[in-house]
Amino acid sequence: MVSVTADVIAGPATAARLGVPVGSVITTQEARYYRSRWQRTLWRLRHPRGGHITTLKGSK
Amino acid sequence: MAFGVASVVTNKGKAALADRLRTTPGTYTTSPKYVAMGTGATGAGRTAAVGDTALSTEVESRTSGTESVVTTSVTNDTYQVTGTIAATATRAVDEFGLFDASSSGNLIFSATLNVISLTNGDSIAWTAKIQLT
Repeated sequence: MVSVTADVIAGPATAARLGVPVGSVITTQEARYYRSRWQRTLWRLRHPRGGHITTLKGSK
Repeated sequence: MAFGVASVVTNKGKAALADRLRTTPGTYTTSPKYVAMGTGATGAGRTAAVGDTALSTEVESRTSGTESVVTTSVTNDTYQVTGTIAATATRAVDEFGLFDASSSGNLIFSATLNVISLTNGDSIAWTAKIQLT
């Protein structure tokens, strides 16, 4: 039988965002949140005129 | 094959285990203590399988892990390697491997995982176990 486990450890940026000490073990969900926010920021930069209007037009 | 979560001892791994039981191993002369991670399994639609010889997209440098023998069911029946790898950029980690060299080498243990999203500076402390049953 084989197994692998992964403990995610917060680096400086993630620790500051979560308000925990650098080196803390965090959940994968806590780690994922940063990426989601980063992705949203990137999306906004790529769609400077506002994506909601575009999305509504596209759904008609 | 679609991506899936799995962990296996590869065919190379089975050969290595047998070889390393000998007084003097003939082929696999170094232990599989080098921990590696990657980000390409989901994109490649790869599920860990015994025929694996490499990760889809290995990222960061391998780390020389800490080996030990631990107990799972029977005293000292499990080979364990622990090692930590830090992300130097945003990473969506979805694969793991144990190799017998710090670069190239033989993939002994292969795993594909649900994505773990890291930002620059985050780390993963890996613990891999191979229990002989």
